[in-house]
Amino acid sequence: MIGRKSESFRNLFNVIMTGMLFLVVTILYKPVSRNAIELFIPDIMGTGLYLKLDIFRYIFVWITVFIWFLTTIYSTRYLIKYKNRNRYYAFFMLTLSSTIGIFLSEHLLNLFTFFEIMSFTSYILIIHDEDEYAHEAGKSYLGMAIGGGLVLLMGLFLLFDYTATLNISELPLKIKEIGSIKYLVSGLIIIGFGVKAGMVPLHVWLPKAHPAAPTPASAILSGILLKTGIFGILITTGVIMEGDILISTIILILGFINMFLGGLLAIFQRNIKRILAYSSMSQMGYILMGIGLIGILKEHKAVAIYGTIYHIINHAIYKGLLFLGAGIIYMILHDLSINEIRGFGKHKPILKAMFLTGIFAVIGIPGFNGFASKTLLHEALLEAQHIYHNGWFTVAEIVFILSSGLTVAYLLKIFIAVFVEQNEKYWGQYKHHIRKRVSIPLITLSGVIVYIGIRPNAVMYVIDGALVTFGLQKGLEAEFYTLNNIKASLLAVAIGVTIYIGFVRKYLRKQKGSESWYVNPSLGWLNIEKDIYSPVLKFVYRFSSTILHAIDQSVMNIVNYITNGIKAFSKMEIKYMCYKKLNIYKKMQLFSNSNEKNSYHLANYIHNISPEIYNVAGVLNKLRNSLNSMMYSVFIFATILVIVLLVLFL
Amino acid sequence: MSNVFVLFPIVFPFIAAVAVSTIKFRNEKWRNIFIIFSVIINFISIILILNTEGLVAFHLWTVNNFLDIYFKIDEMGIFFSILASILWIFTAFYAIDYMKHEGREKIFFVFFILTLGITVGIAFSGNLFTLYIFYELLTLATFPLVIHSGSKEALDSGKKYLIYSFGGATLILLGMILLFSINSNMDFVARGVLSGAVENANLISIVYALMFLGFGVKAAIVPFHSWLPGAMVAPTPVSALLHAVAVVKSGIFAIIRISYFIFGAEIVRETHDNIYLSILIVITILLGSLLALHQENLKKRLAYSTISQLGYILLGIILLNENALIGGLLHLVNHAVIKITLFFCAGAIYFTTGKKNISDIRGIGRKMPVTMWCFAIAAISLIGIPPTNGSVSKWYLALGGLNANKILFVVILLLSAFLTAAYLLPIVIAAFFPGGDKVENESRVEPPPRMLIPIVMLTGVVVFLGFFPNAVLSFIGEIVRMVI
Repeated sequence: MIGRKSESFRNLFNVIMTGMLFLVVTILYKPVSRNAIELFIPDIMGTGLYLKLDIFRYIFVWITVFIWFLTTIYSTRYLIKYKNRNRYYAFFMLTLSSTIGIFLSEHLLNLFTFFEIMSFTSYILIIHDEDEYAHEAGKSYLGMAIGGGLVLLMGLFLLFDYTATLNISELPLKIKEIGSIKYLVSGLIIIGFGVKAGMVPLHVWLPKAHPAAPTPASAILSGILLKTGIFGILITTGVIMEGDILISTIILILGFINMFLGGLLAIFQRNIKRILAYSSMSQMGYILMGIGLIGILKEHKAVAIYGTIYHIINHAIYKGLLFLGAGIIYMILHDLSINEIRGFGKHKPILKAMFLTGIFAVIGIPGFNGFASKTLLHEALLEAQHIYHNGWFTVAEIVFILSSGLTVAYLLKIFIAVFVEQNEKYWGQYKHHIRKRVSIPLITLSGVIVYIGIRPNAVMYVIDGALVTFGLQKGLEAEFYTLNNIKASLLAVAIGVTIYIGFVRKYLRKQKGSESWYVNPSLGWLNIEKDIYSPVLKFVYRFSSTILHAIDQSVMNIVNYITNGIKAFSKMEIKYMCYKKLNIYKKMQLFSNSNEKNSYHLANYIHNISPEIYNVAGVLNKLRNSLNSMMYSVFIFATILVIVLLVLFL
Repeated sequence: MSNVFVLFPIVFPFIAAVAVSTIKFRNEKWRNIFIIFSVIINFISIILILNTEGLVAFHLWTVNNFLDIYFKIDEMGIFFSILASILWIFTAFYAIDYMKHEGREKIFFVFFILTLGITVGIAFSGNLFTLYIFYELLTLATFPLVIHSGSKEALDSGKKYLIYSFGGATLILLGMILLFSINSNMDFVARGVLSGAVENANLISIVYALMFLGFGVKAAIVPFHSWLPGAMVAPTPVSALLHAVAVVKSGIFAIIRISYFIFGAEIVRETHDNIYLSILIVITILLGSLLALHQENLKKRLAYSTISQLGYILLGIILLNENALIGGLLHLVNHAVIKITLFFCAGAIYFTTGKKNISDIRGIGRKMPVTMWCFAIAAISLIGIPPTNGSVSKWYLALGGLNANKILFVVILLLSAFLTAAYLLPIVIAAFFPGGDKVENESRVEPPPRMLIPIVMLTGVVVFLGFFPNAVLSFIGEIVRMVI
């Protein structure tokens, strides 16, 4: 609204608003760390608005506000060439408030409300470009978001029906009493949240929506909005179900599939944002794995909790950085295909350094924040292996390391293509395009990455407070920089480099003279959306449409049939009568062979009769035509009454 | 003496209607003022009656037990009459400007006011016979409104409307006669008049099914629904009222009356009719929302949407438990408000741009932002997404479904909600995000304020009822506790 008057004032206003929010939230840490804040406003939506802020939620809120603040600064610059900026900012802020609402809600219905608002407002961010691709992406996003929301709602209905409460803190006790229906309930809820979290096989919207949205929107989409789904799953499995083994195992397996599939598909992509989107999917896999392990480890779950929450924080930070970095390239070149932007960053040391920081963080190189969380998750996995001595966990660990290798490979692909390769088109021009306002968020994020990487225990201290939510008291001292951990990290890097050299360079990169480009063979592969969801949906749609059309027209059809039937009947009668007359005539003829005069008379008689019969039909027809609607309805009325009375008296 | 005053809100519109048709007004302005005043006076008189008299009853004319015109005001009647008269005021304002381009306003307003009186009459009816009389009158009074434009299409639709309605009325009359043979008392009493031992259960079952289907014609239950999309040729204020309160909701109101005030929930449950009828209702819900997807004409799409939403309300009634009935009644209010908003928006688009089809209205959000915002909010509400009022009623309906141990119903509700999104959101998206470059010199063409203000206010009600449904909820809760 303000933006109509003045662009710069609006920008300033937004930055200040998010900045203030950031400050307020940061200051809130002290009181929250002592005691959880609760807020209850009755009468809203029939159930009241029930918000709660404890450390567990605080972490989510803080990271949300932090990333939002930086992307707002970034947006003011990035969007300068876009149209409809006011709309963008309005919905950007609405999305922020609803996201915070999700993290704060204590009542699941409030959470659902905010969740739906967020789906809608973020939809508007995704289709901001309004071109065909954006609409296409937006359609799958919205369709899946609404579908997921309704599945979630179904779960909530059932939950409320069985437990009569939707307050998160009361649910763990109640849900124990309802027996095995809880699996259905939590399954539905997890599917609902899983759509947002990009869980396989509900991830199809994710790689489409990220490239379609403007970069700041993709940054928050990947950094924060995916986390709302994760938050929901975490609440459901970790808190409400108290880490039920069955659910946890399913989440764990899905996590591994996510992790591996995301990484694998990322390697094939050529659009930077799409690579990053698949990378997000893969990282969600790590987090899901962490959530699964929380349940599986039972008493030893502390390490998994640390790992999960830590990775959530880290992923938000470094994926934000990478997206914003990619955004700078897009801002200048308006292209994201690595074939086009090849070698763009060779002469851009600052951007290169930023990107490298982000990449190292994702990979988990010691000294960057990703290392800390990945180590914790790895520890958790080893712990599980240690407890259960199960062959599957060995497989799991292999998948884990392999996925880390894939991560290295696809990031190397971006990095080498964009920042190392030679391209005579780009020699360091466009310097003037990058303003300070854009680089501030990037530098801040890289700073945070390095800081956490060097002092990983600082965050651990904060997460200590979140353990209460999961029913744990004592914290955990973690030693990050041990030889083993570093070795594991380096092993992943080694595998990644091998994959890159052995696979990416060989098969995906075609060279012709000095020209080289990347191909994407996975385009022709089975696409879950195109090959499974759409056809099934279409089939169901067509099938049910046909049936319902038939029902729709049924009354009319029946009436038509009856009319036609009556018509046919009347014709038949006439024919029959004619036939009878003819018979008579024939009989007569037999009798009156000798009497020619008589037979002539009869023929004449028949000739006279038949028009008379036709005339009767004609009169009926005339009568029917002359009956107007009013008469007709009265006529029907009377007919039915007569029939009924007959039935009654019989 | 004071009881006669009950008749005032019913008779007054009749007088006003006659006045509109006979008095020669100096110009249109005076006539419009007269119309607005008479609608508002009617509303005030209803409020006054409620405040001063409490629950009253009044026999107008009694021949015997069967032929007895009897008015009684109870909570259910209050509920329905207030809803109708409030929405009538909005529509009156809207119609004054809208009808300018349809022409023949005089005839329109005569029947418009007449219909109000009849609707209030339906609400205040104290027994089945009175209800039936007004119900038939309603058909006759709305018929001229449907065929207002006088085109061939309109006449055909009107014919269809009449035939369906009288067909339904026949079933009702039959049911009434049979019912009279069972029980001579047909007054509306909470929990039903058929209390006690049920002797011939089969007959009761037949009677109930007959009456349900008969009134179901107006409530657009499959397979008696096809008059409703046909009646879309009527001018927008008419279709808005037809859909929101006057006709379809009268059908629903009558069904509530027979289910809970004549038969009573217990007896209906014993007849097992509710199970068979619920199959029909489920088909209604799915058919409405799925066929809405096929419609190109905006008003037709909304009409099919009404069919499916009415199915929700009927489902709430037929499930026969407390939560479901609360949900049904709440959805009756909510759907009325939402659908009238949607129709007003559709009418405003037609009024200002002359566009009827969905494919034509791409980018209309830029020209008419206020209207389309209202449309968007109402659409979201109809899908049932919080924090709008549609979500609250769906919540209760779903709980009712679960209380009746019918998970299938909840699944169908949600499926239909998804379809609702599928047929309404593309309109909003096409209107707001047409893509392409901004066309220069685009001027705002919002409808005139007398049309826009009702739209905006109704949208406000949609959101307000979403945030604070408790006032309506507690009133509905009172009714429901009385009848179950």
